[in-house]
Amino acid sequence: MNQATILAVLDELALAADALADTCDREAPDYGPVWHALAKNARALKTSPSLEDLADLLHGAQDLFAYRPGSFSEVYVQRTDPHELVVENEKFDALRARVSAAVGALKSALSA
Amino acid sequence: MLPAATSMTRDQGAPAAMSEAAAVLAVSAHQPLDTQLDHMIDEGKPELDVLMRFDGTERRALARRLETYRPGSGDSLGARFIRLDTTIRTMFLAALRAASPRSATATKTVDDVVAAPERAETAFGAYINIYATNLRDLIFAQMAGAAWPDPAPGLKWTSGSGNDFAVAISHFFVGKLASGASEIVRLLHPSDVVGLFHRKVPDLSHATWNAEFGFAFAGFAETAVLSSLKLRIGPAYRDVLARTSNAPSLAQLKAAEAYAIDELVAQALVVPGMVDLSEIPEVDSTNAATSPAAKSSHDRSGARVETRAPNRDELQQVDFAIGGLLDDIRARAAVNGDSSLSHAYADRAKRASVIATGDDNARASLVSKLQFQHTQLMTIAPKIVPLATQLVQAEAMLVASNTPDNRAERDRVRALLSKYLQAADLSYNEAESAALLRSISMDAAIEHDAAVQADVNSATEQVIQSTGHSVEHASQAEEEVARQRQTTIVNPAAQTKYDHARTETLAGEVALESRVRSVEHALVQLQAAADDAGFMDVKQFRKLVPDLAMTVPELIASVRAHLANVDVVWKQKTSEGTAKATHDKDAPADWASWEGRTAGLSAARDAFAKIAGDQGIGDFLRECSDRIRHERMVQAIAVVAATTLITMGVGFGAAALGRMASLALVGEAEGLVASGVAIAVRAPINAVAQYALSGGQGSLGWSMLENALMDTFTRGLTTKLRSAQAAALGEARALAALPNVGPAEARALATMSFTGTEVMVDLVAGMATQWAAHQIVTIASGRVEVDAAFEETVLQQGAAIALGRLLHTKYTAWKQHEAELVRSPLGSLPETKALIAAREQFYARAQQLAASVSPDPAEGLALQAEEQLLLKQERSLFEQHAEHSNAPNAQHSPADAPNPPAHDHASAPTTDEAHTASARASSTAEHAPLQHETKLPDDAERLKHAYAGLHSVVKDQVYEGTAEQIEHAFALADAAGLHVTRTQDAETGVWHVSIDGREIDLNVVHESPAITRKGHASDQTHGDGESHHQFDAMHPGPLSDRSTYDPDNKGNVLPAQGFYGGGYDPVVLKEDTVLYRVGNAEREWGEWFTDHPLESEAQYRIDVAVKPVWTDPRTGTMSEGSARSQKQMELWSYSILIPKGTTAYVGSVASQGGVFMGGVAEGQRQYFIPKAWLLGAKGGRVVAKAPFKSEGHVQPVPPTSSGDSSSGAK
Repeated sequence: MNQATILAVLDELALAADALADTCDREAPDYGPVWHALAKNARALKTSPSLEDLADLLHGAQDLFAYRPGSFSEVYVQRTDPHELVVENEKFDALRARVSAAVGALKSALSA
Repeated sequence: MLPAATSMTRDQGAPAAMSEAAAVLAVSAHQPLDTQLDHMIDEGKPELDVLMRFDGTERRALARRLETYRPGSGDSLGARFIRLDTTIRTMFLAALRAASPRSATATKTVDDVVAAPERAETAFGAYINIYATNLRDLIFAQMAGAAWPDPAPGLKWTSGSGNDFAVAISHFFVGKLASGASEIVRLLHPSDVVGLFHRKVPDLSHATWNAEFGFAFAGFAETAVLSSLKLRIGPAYRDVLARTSNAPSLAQLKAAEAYAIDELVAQALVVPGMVDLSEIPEVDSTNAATSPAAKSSHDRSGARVETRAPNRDELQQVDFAIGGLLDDIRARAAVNGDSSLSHAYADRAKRASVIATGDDNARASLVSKLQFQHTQLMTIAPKIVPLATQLVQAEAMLVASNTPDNRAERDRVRALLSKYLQAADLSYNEAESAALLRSISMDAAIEHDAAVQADVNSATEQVIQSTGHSVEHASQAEEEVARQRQTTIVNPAAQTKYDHARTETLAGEVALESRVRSVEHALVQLQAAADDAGFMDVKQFRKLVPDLAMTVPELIASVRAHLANVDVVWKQKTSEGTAKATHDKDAPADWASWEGRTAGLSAARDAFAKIAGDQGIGDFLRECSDRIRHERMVQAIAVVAATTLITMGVGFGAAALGRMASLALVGEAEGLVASGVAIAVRAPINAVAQYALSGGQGSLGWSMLENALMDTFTRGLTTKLRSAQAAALGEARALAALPNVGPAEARALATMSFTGTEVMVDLVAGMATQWAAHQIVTIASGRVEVDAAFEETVLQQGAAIALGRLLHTKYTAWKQHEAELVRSPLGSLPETKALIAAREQFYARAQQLAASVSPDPAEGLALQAEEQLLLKQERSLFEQHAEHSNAPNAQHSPADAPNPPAHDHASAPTTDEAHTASARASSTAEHAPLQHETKLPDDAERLKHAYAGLHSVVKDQVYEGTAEQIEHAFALADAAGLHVTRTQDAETGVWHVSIDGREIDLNVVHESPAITRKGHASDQTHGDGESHHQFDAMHPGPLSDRSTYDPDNKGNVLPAQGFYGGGYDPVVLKEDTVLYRVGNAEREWGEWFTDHPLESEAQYRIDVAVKPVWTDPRTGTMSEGSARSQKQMELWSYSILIPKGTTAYVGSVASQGGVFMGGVAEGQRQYFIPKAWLLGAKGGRVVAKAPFKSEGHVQPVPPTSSGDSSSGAK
């Protein structure tokens, strides 16, 4: 486990999760606090990144990306205009993908 | 080899004496450390747990003070300390320096140890440190006394014996004693030395020297060294020597990571002069081919067993069976949330190309591995469903009541399930998987014994507390239970099933008698208290509590009536259950009386439990305790409730009983699996196995083991085969006794000869058991020690092969019979032709089973059932023919009639008739049916496995199949003579079936008319009744594509995992279709749908497996900050029109863990449509929505409009 990599990944994860949380606050308020909490936890771990806590963080994030009925994977941005619906959801998906990439990087860093 | 239990009887010498002296030491926990130490120095023994209560800094400071004491310094403690023996001083200093445990609470039970592993290991490490000297002596003695085998075949000790090795390995091992607890645990792996320590030294406040522990510890050490030498390092040494012609270096003897002991054994072996290098052994290319077991592989006639390498198809068949078992286990264990079995799947994928394209040698190298894995998975699979069911129940209990007990129970079941899953996941790795199963068996045995002990202890304590007297035989029962536990832990082989059952019965009797006595005493107390309070006066009592349905005298009378009933039932059932003689030849002389006592105890327990189950009594006690304030009365009521176990729930000893019930469930499952063959006494096998492991007689030990296994198995197997044949005889005689058969039919019946049956049973049983014994010995000698359950599975496989061979050997006889049948008037009937075709298929299956590389025991049972069915069909054929021929016969003269009508049987037979009757009476059916003398254990399972291919939705409760399959199952069940009653619910179409008093529901499944499979026009349900999806775990489809659904390889759950067993099909909607979903008020769309509206939240949560909230990443629960608004928590049900042409993925619902089960029952089909919210642009829309009612929800009908096919997918 490379300490510098872990810190960088946590930094990016916190930023990405916050950005997603901000959109969720607006578009899917039930998930805003969840992503804010994840961002907060990622920041907190930067000061004392124990392996156990990092693994917990990773597992929790993986859980949020699980494809299950009623999970975050079913969250989308609602718009009545079909074009706007597509555009806004593309933006939302990009935010989701950024967090996903950060979680993937965390997993790689932990298994390195 | 010196078994630990035997070692206990040896002179225990000084340590035992010290133990006795120290046992009387009592030290107050409230005194300062130096005062406490003062007492201990007087006694000459450190009290580990007392010392542990003090702060580590204080202890270490005192250690320094004692260590640095100089005469004349004025320290009286130091002065007395320095006068102690050096060994004792070392022990004191080690105890003072030992690392502090986290908790200061004394560790007393195994459960506590499990709850605090760190503490357990710390205390264990300290103990080893303190008593290192004692252990050192025992280890040297144990190693010196052991009979060390040669390191490997063809490789000998220089000294001619293993004496030098014993000294060297003792030296190296003792050197590790100071290395700490974890290192000791690693060295003794897989023995549970920490568990042993806490069982032998349960009270750390008196952690004195325990000689039993010491001997067992030394025994563990010997076992670990022996297995390392025999199985790993010895052969490795030999291989290096054979290849290089030089003595191996330490580096060349690559130690297995899992076995720390290997390093020490390697160190001892490379000591110069240890091994005789004068002869270089030849390279050993194949273990199996040269193993002693293989050399002794002869059948009873002395012929060598067939050792042909299986061909590609045969291997693939086993590999497919392995894949099927993995799928099954994974699907059924989904409730555990972690059942990916990824290692097993990965290993399977790795070997696929070897099986498909490898040469003979490459395939041959896989045979034993595949056989092991197949058998191991067949052993594990039946355990999964009961455990998964228990886990769901435990989760549900937790939802209902989040108590520590419920959490502990849930964790216990989850841990056990996880262990089985781990064993399945590593099933390709023989050593690790077998070790896991062994540890489960050991844990279960210990846990069972602990439960019995807890029950008898609590019951006897209760009666002593309440009456001041103990029940007769109480101490005997406690001692026997304790002894049994010890035997289970130290030397399971020394324990027979008779000893075990006897001890449990005795303990149960004492426990129940104690409870009855306690209740009687509690009633006396209640009466006195009621007198005191004036409550025995009914009028006065009614004034205070006018609405209670019972009075105190009535309560007392009611409970006494129950107790009287317990007594009556106990005596009656004991008497009824005591046979005049036991049929078990191996049983002790008084076994019949013990069987009676066991039966009586069981019935009496049920009768006693009825007190707690009596609602009137329970309600009265609870109401009284709530409303009466008379202190003595309240106490008396509490005692009555406690003694009748009402406050603790129905049963015996609450927690202990809970565990026993769980074990019973598991036991039941094991019983089902073990149905094929009765397992005979295991003790002799274990004894011989130990001898074989010692290897002192070269291959003789292994030959003996194989012979012992064969004898034992044959005993069990032939009993079963003979009873099967006896049943077949009865059936065939009934067939032969049919009236009105013509001469040709009579000839056909007469060809059913039983000649040679006795010989055949012996022969086939011998072959089968030889196969089973050989399998076990080959595995055990070459690689790993297998678990008892594994052996049972192998034995059942052997039985399956035996049945296959037995059935197939009748083929010739059948052909003769068939020829007669064809020549008879029946021969031209289509039913006869169908019967003949079915027989051909049957014998082909039998042949396939007989030649199987790794047979499935269920196939043996299925063939038996099939045989029975075929014979019944034939009987029906003859009966129908007789009916046809009966009327014409009545028109003919007796001389014309080849057989008299049925009612003429009473008349004197003609010569021809006598001949025919004689032929019938003596007729036997060499191809006649095999059936058990009693019903097979699980008719529903037979129904499922043997015939109908019904799919189990909830084990033993709900099955599903198409209407055709279910009808077929009924027909087969009728033909097979199963007592099945059924009614169909007119509304739901569900069949309610009763089989032998068990209620089972059969759901009828059918396909959605509005949907066609992408690329598949037909239904995916095959003839075997199993649902075969286009995509599943072995055939990953688009929903398993990580580049789409997990592009960053985070390892998250993929959509495919949302389907039961990972199986789903792509479908294209042929028309606009309404699908349904339940979600919060904020979002109408999602990606997961059902094809009918849900009717309750329970259905939503359980059937469709939607959790109320998903978890917080850190805590596993919703974080406080994410508390949802009412609107967010509110559920709505949406009817959504999905436009035609949309591709959806359909399958059954996967479990999401806990009570969120999912499943495959009718109405639980779900659809995944990726990003369905974008379908709005293509005409998709919400056509109806309504707040979702948690019970009895009715989805509003959408307004009719053109193009709306309204729930067309239903």
